Amino acid sequence: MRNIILASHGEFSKGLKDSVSMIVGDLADSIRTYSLYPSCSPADYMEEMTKEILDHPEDEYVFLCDVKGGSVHSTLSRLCSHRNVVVYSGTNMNLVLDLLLSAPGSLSGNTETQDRLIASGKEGIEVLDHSRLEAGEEEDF
Amino acid sequence: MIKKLRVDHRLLHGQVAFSWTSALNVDCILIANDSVMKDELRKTTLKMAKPNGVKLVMKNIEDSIKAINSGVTDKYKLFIVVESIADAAALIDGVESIKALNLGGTKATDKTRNISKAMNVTPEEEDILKNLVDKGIDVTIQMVPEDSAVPVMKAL
Repeated sequence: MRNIILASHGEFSKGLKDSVSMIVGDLADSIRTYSLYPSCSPADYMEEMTKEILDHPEDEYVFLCDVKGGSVHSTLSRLCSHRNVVVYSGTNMNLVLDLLLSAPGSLSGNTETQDRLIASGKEGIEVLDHSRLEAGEEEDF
Repeated sequence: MIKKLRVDHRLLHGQVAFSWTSALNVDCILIANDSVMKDELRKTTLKMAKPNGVKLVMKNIEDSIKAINSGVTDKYKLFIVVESIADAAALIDGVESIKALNLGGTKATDKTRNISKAMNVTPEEEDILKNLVDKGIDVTIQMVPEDSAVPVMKAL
């Protein structure tokens, strides 16, 4: 079984889960979230998760963290010493959706799928302003 | 072949683009809408919503019907999205092979009645829906693929 955990400073993770569930419905129900609050330590959560991960070697744990290098990401990255753990940073909605909808099979050790999900997240970032507006090509059958 | 015809007032957006195209395994999306064809900005934003690996075609209702009936769409697994119940009825009238209609979402106004989480219909639209059901069209309400499809007559 795959455990997907959105992990963030404050409530980004909870809000992201809420937004994702608006698109994929019940499929988002199993997503777990972790919110770091002031005066709490992500190390406590990491220890808690370490126990769970060791108890469930047959499960996969995918952590989707917020800002790269932040305390949530850097602390949870230490979990990667376990073979059944994958940790992402810079999580956006595209990445979560692609993970839910088009990444069946195991992710740990599968660098090809891991990289495809990153590409999908990056492709989700675009900018548009009046100077970039153009009619563009129309597709037809 | 036509995999699905959907009414969604937002046309193509996250919900449609991601979950339906992957659940239906479609390779082509047709947005059938008269006003979009006159609105370059809206066309640009709709193109941004297009998932990778899927073709996106936009046509007005009349040209959509012509294209489908000409056979050029036969080779695609086609997902058609329209904005309104009236547009859906026009397509169903014009294309014999469409036997089902998915109701995704319509906006609430002071003339509409709420019949499900995301569907709001005017009395005229209720009549159109009943008429479609009478003609044997399988009309169901389903926002996302993970929801179960509810026959529209249960909600009316």
